[in-house]
Amino acid sequence: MKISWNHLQSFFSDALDKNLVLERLTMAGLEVEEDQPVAPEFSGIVVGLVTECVKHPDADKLSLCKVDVGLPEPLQIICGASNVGVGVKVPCAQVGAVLPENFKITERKMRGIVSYGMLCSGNEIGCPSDVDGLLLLPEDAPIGVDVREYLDLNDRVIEFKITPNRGDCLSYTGLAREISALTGFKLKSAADTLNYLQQISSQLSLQVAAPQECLHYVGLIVHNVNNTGSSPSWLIKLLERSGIRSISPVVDITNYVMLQLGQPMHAFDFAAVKVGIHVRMASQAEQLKLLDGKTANLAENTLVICDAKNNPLALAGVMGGMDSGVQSETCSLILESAFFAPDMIQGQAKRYGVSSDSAFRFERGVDPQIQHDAINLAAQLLVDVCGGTPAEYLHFSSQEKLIKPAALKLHFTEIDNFVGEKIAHDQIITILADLGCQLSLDGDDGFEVVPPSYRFDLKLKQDIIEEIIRVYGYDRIEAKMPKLTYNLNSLDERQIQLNTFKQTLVGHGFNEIVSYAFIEDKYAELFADKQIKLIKLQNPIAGLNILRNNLVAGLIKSLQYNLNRGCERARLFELARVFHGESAEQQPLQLAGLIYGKISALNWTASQECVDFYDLRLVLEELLLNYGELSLVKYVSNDQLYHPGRSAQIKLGEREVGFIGQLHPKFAAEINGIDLPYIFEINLEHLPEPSAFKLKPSSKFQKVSRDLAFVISQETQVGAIMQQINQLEINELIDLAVFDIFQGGNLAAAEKSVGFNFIFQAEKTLADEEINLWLSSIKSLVCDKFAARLR
Amino acid sequence: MEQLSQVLSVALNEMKLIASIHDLEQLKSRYVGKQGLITAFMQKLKDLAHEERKAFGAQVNQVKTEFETALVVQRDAILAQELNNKLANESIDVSLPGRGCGTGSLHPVTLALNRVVKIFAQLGFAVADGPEIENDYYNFKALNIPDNHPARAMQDTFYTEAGNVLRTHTSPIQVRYAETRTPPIKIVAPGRVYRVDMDATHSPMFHQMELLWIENGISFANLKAIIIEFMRKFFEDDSLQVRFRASFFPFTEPSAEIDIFFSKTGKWLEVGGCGMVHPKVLNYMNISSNEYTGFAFGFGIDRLAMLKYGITDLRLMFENDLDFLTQFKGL
Repeated sequence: MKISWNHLQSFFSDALDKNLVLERLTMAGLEVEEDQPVAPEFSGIVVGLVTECVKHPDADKLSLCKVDVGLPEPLQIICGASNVGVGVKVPCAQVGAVLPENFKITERKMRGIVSYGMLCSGNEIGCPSDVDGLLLLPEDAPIGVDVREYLDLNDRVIEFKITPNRGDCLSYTGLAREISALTGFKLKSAADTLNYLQQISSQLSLQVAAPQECLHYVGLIVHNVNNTGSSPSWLIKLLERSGIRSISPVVDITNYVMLQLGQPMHAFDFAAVKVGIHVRMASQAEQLKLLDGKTANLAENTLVICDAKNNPLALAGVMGGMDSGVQSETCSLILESAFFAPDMIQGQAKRYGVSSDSAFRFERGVDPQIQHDAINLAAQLLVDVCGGTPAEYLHFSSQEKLIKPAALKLHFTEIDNFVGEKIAHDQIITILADLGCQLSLDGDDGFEVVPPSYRFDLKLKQDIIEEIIRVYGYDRIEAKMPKLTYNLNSLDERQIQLNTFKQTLVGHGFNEIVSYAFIEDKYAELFADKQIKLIKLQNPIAGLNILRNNLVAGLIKSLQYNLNRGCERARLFELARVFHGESAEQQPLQLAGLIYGKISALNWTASQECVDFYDLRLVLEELLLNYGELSLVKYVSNDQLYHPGRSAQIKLGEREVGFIGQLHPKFAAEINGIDLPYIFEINLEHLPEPSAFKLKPSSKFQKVSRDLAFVISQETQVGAIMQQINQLEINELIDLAVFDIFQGGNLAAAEKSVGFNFIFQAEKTLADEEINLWLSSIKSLVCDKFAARLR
Repeated sequence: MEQLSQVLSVALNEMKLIASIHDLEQLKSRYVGKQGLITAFMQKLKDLAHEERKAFGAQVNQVKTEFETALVVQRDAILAQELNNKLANESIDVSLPGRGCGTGSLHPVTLALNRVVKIFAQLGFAVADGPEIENDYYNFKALNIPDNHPARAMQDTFYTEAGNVLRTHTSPIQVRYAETRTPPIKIVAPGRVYRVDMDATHSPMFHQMELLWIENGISFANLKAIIIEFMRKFFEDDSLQVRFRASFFPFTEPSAEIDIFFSKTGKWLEVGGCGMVHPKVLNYMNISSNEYTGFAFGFGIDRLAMLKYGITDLRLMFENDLDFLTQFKGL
């Protein structure tokens, strides 16, 4: 809500302290968003009358003028504007004047003649106007008066952020009331307006078929209105400073009343209304061409104002119709001042894709008691500004259904407990009275309070308590730590688990990323899991219209971003929800990581090898160390996200928990790097409970190390051999490692040699015979099961 | 006699020039070995008269002792020199940079979030979580934001094609958690939230943290104390100024915006919203508003992280630029 400070000031007899007022309003919930001067700094510019104007003898485009600025002698000023002429009144900057941006006016010779000042355009003094050339002031502008004062340019425009509960502050009156309650500055008593509601119309009928939705309706017929030309400058200026464009005198007057009192109004062309007004709910398949040119296909739960023949004229409280609006030639009209139920209007503007100041106010609620005052104020202005003649009026009221603020009973102790501080009783009473509440004391213990009609937001005790402390000042309430009931929480194992995952990855050199949960079509096409139906957004932003069902796209996008910035190696991970459906259970947490490029950062010795599958596999093994037996099973998915020969499904026992592999080479163009990254994905919801930690006893006896090398076929998986050896369950075999993989040499093409290292240890010194026995059982197992031979 | 002292002085001179243990051992056997030059004097003793023998013997012994003492000194000197040489040869350029794979880093949002969770864990707060695709009930209705209410316009909402919403705040977690529990309820609920807004200072996805404390006797003064303490601990500044501005949220009454004073700019900066849980919301949680009161407090983790770590551009938080991320190593 934008306001003119000077106009707001006019509601008070004493000068307001602006800084104090704005500070108090901000702290009390009416946040000041902007506080701007209406015009830039300038001085020394007065209203001047051009009394003579001839061509400059030596310059075609310059005029030589004499300008009366109220001094004994007129000033000689040279002017280049085309609209200068005898008799115009314009802003005249005298010698010594300072224009915006510190431009100083001095005597200046122009083509041999001295100019003692400058005539100004609107732009030159920060008041842009549509007219080219000089800013032409009204004929009655007093000569010699400072233009800043004459045009009220010392005013400021202030914008407040009004929260949805404070519809009562969407007007000058409402804001002034609030300021008075908060600061104690006294409001001027409002000037009396005449009552123009004298005679109920006999020729026009008013029928309200929706009394629950249209609770109060007042219409006033006004004849002889002159709606041609433009509104008086004071009206245009006030509207503009309040953020509303001037349209025509009649529309400007209705907007003025809305700004002044908070009552949205509408004016119908009398001729369009014909013989009466009918307020009803719309029926399906009705149409209405709105003021903004759109045609609304009306829905049944929309309130409409119709003519007596039941043709819709306006969307009640939202926007008028094109055909029934006032035109410049309109001379008879019907003013509407109504109270529509807020929940009736809520959502209507959005539904029909329009927005209006009227709907904005009705949605939040309008004072149900001001319809008569508003129509009288509007009528008064139509008389004063447009020469109108108010005539008969229409009226409907279902007063008993109007929102009446309920009386609330409060105990002082209740307030003290809720706030946590004792506020003096008389202070509470004063605050509520200042806010316009009616109070009756209930002994010493409490009181009953009835909020004023415009504070329909005060419905609960808590609302009243908020009012008390809001005015009292939140900052005056002493902060007090609660009395704690100490009970130790059990540790949140889930949080610990997630943090451990992150720490493990950080230890392995991974950087955590955060990427958007929504991705573009292109990325969904490339990287989303095709087995899962994609969830799309109705109203995406920047083309990010699909909710990701895995974390791959985010990792790849981040990699691409960094590759484009010259990075040569990356280790990234993200832990986030992915979307497999819309229910809570279908949004599992996933953990995914990516490695790419050189094993270590460029340095002065180490080989600059690139990472491979096994670098990532180690990370995976360490992440899942406590979650049971890890196995990687070759897996070729239909989407071919991964290289089919370099990828696997991650299994923990029988559970399928994710995937690991190199990105499929078909994405080489997307990555455009030295190699394709390796990625793992783990669905955290599929993990089993971590196994309870169990410490293995460590022996003090000597460890014995033995090696065996087998020749096996190329296809044989080394992991399968290790699994078989482990299944022998030799307790003394405490470690099994692969120390060599060899191909070529004297081996056949389809063969490879694998070197195993065995570490044995027991609670005694092991004898060679024992160890040899184990080794030979291992030998025969491997040779039998895998058609292997010792090398 | 003179011969004897001459031999010693030659021996000592020779010894001074020796630089290795091996040469020293040879010198030693040349003088005091079986055939040694000094040993030879000993052998001459038997040719001397009895009275001369004693004096000469003493002199020879003295020379021998002198020689052997010098020998020990020289040996130590050589060993020291050899060690010094070895150390000198082994010295490296300690100024070269270290090498290896190095550690990674946590995202600043995670760092900030961990800080918050740790602070509140001390007061016995549990961590709660919830879905990011929410239904209208939890995101709006149960938080006292009815259909079409203007308060909905405070948050521009993403809708899925099926009509669900991407949660616009972490407040739905409050209701999900509390509806099946009885007070005291003390939770922090962090998570990603979504709003239709994207410019230099807005991201369509960002992080929020919600705090909820419902217990018998919780007051507005308590709310203030917890938030002020939290802000001071989070920013490690026990004199940090925190102010509460009246505001409106449908799910709290009274409501307040929280500002902290930013001494660098001399301005107040909004960091979150809070208030006493609205009786209607307590109702939706199946908690009696006559018996219990509570407060809720919500803030942007990204904003807090940015202030904490001096990040001035929100976009950095979601670009995942390694030059940015790696700066958070070790934190």
